[in-house]
Amino acid sequence: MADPLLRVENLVRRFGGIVATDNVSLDVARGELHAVIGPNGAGKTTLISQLTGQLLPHSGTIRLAGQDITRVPAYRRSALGLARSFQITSLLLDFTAIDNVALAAQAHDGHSFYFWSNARKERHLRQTALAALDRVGLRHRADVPVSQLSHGEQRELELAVALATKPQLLLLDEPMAGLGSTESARMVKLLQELRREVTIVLVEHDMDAVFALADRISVLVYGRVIASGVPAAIRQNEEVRRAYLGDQHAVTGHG
Amino acid sequence: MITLAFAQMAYYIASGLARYGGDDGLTIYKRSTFGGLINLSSRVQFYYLCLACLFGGIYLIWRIVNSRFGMVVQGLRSNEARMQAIGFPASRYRLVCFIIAGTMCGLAGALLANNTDFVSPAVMYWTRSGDLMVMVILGGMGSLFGPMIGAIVYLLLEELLSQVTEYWALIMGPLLLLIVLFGRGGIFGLLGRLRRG
Ligand SMILES: Nc1ncnc2c1ncn2[C@@H]1O[C@H](COP(=O)(O)OP(=O)(O)O)[C@@H](O)[C@H]1O
Ligand SMILES: [Mg+2]
Repeated sequence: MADPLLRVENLVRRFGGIVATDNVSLDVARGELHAVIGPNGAGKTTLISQLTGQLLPHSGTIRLAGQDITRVPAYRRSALGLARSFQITSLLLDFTAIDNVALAAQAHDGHSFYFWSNARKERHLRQTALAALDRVGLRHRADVPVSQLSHGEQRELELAVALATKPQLLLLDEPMAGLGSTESARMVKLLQELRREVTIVLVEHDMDAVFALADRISVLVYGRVIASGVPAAIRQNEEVRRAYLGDQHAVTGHG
Repeated sequence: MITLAFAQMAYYIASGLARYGGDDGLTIYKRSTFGGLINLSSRVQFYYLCLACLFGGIYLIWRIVNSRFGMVVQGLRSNEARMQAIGFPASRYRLVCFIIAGTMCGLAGALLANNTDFVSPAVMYWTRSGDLMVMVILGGMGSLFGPMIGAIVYLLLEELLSQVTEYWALIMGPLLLLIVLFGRGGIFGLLGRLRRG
């Protein structure tokens, strides 16, 4: 069997007394959409942040396409093809939509120690950005400042920014958070399309979305993976039902 | 904060250098000559040199702000984690930004020394850094002309108020507080909002 695109082994991350990531091991195959679910505080965001390099694990290893990236800084991981969206939208608010995306394209187009010519007039950056905006259906909003975009549009823009870095692995931290039902449906449709182009790790609360999209699901509770498998198996898993699906079914749909 | 601390450190080092006058400073007997091209003893020539440096500097910064480098620095100002995540080595860009700012301050310092014919460690004291911060906040942070307007207004106010009372700082302080509390974006920001109605 070919190497998995992402291999996480025995990852541990503590915050003071609590173990936010407790010996997590995880494989994500190329082309797969791998969902990570779990109740609030289970350590999903902490896991994503370690994958992108914002947080360093206390022990364990992370491999991308066979290469050990456990200690590689965040900006270099981006160059290796790792992109993330943030759970809390974290765009550059005083920039326009296209500026945000063009900046991501710029990050992957050589260094940025150019001090003189106008970056907004670089055709190929703008075109890459427009293509990414088009991909998420935001082309017509390109010149609107981010602060004036709706919440749903900002979530889509987050995706466009990630796409503009031409990632091989996309890490999405609750892309549906705070979206209404029509907006959620649009996001699910968008992810359906994107999954054909790029490997995705999806952290999501919305169970309907997760079961509709995922090839495989890992369930995280108190920092530990309690189950990992295809959606049907997860649905049947007793431990998962007890820990999560059963008593927390109200979680479905809300952010 | 760290910048302030370093300035303070430099202040004490300079105060200790007896060879360069220590605490008392150093009188400069001769102004820069620029190979005889510009005569700084002429107040008019000096003025135009400063003016040229000002507009040259503003033009330069304007170019930088809109360049690739400028986009990165603006991005870093609003969200460093995001910039790292999309692939920018943040600290490198920040370092170069400091170097550019420091170089410009160096130029300003050279002009200042020529103007006063005197340098002393006092220009490194933290209150001087404070004055500069006040000018920037007063005029409007993160704008091109804000700091210039801030400097003009600050110096004019200081001049006018000190004619009225020697406790001019008592009026200046609350005024600044008001600007910080209510005038987001400083004077430049206020002007922008007035223009937009
Ligand atoms: N920066 C931090 N400092 C201290 N504790 C943290 C920090 N980030 C997360 N935690 C803790 O780690 C646990 C997992 O958090 P998180 O990864 O955000 O969970 P999730 O995304 O699954 O809701 C929580 O108990 C949280 O309080
Ligand atoms: Mg989270």
